[in-house]
Amino acid sequence: MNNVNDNKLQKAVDRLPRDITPANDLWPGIAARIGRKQRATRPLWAYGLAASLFVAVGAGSLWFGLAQRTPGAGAAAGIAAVSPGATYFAQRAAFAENSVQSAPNLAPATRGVILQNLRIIENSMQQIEAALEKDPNNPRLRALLFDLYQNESRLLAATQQIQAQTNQRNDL
Amino acid sequence: MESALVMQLPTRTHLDNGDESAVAARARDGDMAAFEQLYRRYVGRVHAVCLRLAGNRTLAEECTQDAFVRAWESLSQFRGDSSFGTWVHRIAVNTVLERHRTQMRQAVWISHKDDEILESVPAPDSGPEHAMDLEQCIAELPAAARMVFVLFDVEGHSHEEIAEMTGLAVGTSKAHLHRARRMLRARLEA
Repeated sequence: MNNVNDNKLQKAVDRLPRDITPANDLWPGIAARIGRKQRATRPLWAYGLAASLFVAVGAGSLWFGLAQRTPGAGAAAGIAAVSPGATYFAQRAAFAENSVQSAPNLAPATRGVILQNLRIIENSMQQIEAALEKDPNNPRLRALLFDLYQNESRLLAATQQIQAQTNQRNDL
Repeated sequence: MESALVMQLPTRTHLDNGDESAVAARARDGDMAAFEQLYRRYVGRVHAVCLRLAGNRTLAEECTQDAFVRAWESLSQFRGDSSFGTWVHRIAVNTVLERHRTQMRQAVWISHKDDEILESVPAPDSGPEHAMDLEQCIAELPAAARMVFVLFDVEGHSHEEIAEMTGLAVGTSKAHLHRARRMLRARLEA
């Protein structure tokens, strides 16, 4: 009797549908949950930008603060003592540029304009640093360099802001 | 904001077998549209196993969602040795079983004797009344018997695989299957 009933049961099992579509479309909920998780991990690149900003502003402020506190003939020695050198500036510039290059969701034209401005600033910095090596006590050169650091900081902050606005639009 | 995101999403998409690995690769790179294609292809299969294991539509939908979210999170581990469907199916089974274990610990696993499971199940081409009856009978089985029956008789797993997935002993799995079949035979004959 069991065999007959087992066959009947097995036939009934074989007739069961393999696919059952949910009564509700579950994708919206899944997409929302995935989206939340993506947003939670998104700021990683922003940390890179913030770090480059922090390094740029911090190093610039430290350098100028110490240089300006060093009076008269000691100024050149002071700058030489705290100035990290051309290699450091090249690495810092590359780091700032990489932060912009790797920021996701920037429109190509926007990224191009930001990079162009960043390179102009970096180029100006290099020229002033070269001039300061010859005339380390020149207050106007130091003020110009300080302004360039601030411009660079503003540019990186603006990049971060554009990125945040783009993300918000994408979320809508 | 979430609802607006939802409204932008594309409608049902079709996916050929040959495209699946490429689509999975795109999904692994973070392409949510590609992942939706995989979802559309396999949601029916995943939901079916969740529904039969859970015995409840609401819980099944939660588990189906959880399974796809977990699949998305684990895509880096999907090597393509099996089809995406097989892989996500296994995730779905584990999701329901984990939910079951959690709820058993909390002693709130619900025995469902309502008709909601019937609302989800499409009638097959032949013998719709038998299929509907069987779905209802499966849903009304005790949880452990239901899970073993679904995994063994419907999904085709061995007792050893079921033991590994559920943590039951092989002998216990066999006993649950015997009990489930006996109860189903009795129900179908009644």
